Amino acid sequence: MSFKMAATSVYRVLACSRSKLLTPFVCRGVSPNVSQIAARQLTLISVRCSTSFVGKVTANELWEGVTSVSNAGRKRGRGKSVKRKLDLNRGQRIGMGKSGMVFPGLTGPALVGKKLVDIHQVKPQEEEETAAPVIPKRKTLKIPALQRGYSGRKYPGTSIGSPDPINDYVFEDFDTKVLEYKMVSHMTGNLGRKMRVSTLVVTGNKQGLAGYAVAKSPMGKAALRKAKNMAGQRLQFIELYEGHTVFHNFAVTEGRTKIFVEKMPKGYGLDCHRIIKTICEIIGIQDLQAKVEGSDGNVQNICKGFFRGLMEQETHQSLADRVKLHVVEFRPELENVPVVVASPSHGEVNLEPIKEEAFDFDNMYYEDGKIPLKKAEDPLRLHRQTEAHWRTYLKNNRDRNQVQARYQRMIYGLEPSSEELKQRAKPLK
Amino acid sequence: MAASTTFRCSSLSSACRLLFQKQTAGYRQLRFLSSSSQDNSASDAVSAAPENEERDPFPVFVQPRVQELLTRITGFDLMKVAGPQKKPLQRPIYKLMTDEQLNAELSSAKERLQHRLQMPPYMKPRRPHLTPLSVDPELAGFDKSNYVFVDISFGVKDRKRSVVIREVDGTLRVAPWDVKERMNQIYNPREGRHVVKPSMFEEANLERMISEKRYQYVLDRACCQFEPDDPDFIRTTHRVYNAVDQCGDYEHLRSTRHFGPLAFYLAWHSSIDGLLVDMLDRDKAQDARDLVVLFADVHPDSSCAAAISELPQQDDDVAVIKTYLATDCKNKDKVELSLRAMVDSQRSKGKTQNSSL
Repeated sequence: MSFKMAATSVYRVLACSRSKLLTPFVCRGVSPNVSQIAARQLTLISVRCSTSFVGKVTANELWEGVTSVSNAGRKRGRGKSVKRKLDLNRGQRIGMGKSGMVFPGLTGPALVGKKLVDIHQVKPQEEEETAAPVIPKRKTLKIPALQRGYSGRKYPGTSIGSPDPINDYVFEDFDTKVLEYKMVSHMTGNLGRKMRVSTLVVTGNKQGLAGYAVAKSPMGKAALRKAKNMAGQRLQFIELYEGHTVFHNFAVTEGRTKIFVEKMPKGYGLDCHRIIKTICEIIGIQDLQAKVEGSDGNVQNICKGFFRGLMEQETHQSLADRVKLHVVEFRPELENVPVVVASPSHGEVNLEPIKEEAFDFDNMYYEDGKIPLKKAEDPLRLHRQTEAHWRTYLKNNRDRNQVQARYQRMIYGLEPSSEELKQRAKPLK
Repeated sequence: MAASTTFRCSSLSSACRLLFQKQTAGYRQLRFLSSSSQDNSASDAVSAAPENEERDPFPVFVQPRVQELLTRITGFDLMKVAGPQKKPLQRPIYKLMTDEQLNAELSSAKERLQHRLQMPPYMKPRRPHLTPLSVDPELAGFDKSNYVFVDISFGVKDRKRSVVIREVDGTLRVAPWDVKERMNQIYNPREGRHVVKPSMFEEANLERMISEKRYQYVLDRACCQFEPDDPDFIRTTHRVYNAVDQCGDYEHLRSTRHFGPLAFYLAWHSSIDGLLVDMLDRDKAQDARDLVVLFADVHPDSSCAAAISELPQQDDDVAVIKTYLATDCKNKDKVELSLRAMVDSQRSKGKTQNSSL
């Protein structure tokens, strides 16, 4: 123990008195092992020193690099976040280790009178100087995974609560989510580039009532609040089919953004761009498939276009009134029993059936009759690329049912005991 | 059962190809063949079982009049019969239809789903085969294990298939029912049927399913797994019918294939009062009458049957129910109360209709 401590102390001393490092020295009274180790350390350090900045710049110069801000930077407000100079040696005495070992000739006098002093340990005295305060690391509160946004600790995708009440009206059951949070700037004659925060939020009650708004402010929080309250004043009612999906497939174009939306059966979930998913969650749509083509990074266009598409839907009732026929639904899980979802509201049903030969409800609402191309894809196509791929696939999947089969055997009490299995694993004699 | 080895006998005539199983792990060559037809001898063995005093419900159950009554009280709620089935998610199809097209679709759907309500037959438990087909002591010790012979001729129905066993002591006998069913499932597997009886049908698990009121699931699976004269089938179904009767959950089984057998079970055991009260409470006077008539048909010697046959107007629902009340009803107060409530509600309904007209 003491030997180990001695070794570290020597190393410290050597490192600190770097101007004398290159001159070999003999340390009297130091055990040969320690001096050997010291010599080894010595050579290492001397080689590295030659290319290092250590010794070329002073401590003050180094500190200046970290703490200083240019005049131009100070104008733009960069001086605020700059670091202060720290006294790194506070609470430490140069040349002294924690253990308080005294190495004669190094950390203390070699001779007292005419007597050689041995290496010895001085009992640690009460420290006069208080040690440098250890600055605790700022603890970052962990946000639960479901409350986190799209990425890290950023705003987009997070919830910011319901809009503020307007007079007596309280936005009950409303929730607001941030879709976009970005810095925007414009040039002024006086200040040059002036930055602001632009936010896009969507607010809604998850039952078809929803609105969105863009707001800007120099401060992020203020921009969010402004946008949230504006969105609360721009609510639109979106009718949903059985409270879970849209009425029909549709496509919308907003700028260079194209959105193809498909109605999906209950239980499908939301399979779409994250912006559309967030909007659906706020509106109350649970099952939907959407594809964004073209400019899929333009959040404002996606939001605007999707809202427009939803508002322009034709409900089954209005379809029935328009064509004066029953709208009938056939669901495979109900054995394709006809279920009337809408009938003409005045009771007048046409006697003539619909004339168009290839009436296709799925493709009825695409603009200009342009139907999205859907390619049938083989789910195993990657495994079928070559014969070897296919063989590997088959090999890897050979035992895929065995786990389930084992459970079945366990249920029926047919699974052999572990002793029996061990017995079976033995080679035949 | 030990792992079995199967041999296909190619040398036999195509008319009666036999497959036979050896009930040990040992692998031996085919020793001998049995080419005699087992059909007649198998049926002889069944009839040779001792005649039971108990009355057989099956002939009563298949009477056309009883079947008609049962079908009528089952009802036909199209949406319940179609029911949400477990299927991979698929998108619904939408069509625009005139009244005529819609009605045609509805009637075709009804026709299509009618088979869903086919009732499983109500039978008494089958008897084990006891009498051996032949005893050949000279064959004793021919092997260490029994040989099972299965007739796999094309077109033979599972229930008609002959399966026989040559035992180690040389006795040839009709295979026990469990062996026969196992062989049937091996050579002619049916979807949803397991070779080993699912542990769901064990008493403790069954109790849990019943307490969760999963009657239809249990009954459907029992239909799938067992033959209708299997003692397990009868035990399971009767257990469920009892639970339904006790909890008054008749509505769970209405418009399913199990409602008819349930009503027949209750009529057979002379305990239709609960079901009758349920029908009266739901204003199903016609159903209640049918149930009483069913009771009379099942028990032709009862005083109720005699009283109903003497009724001047047999179409009058209330009169028929009152006859039952007067004769064989065990829970008179309750049934009478429900009957009166139903009659009152019908009268008030009639009044409101008349006034509105």
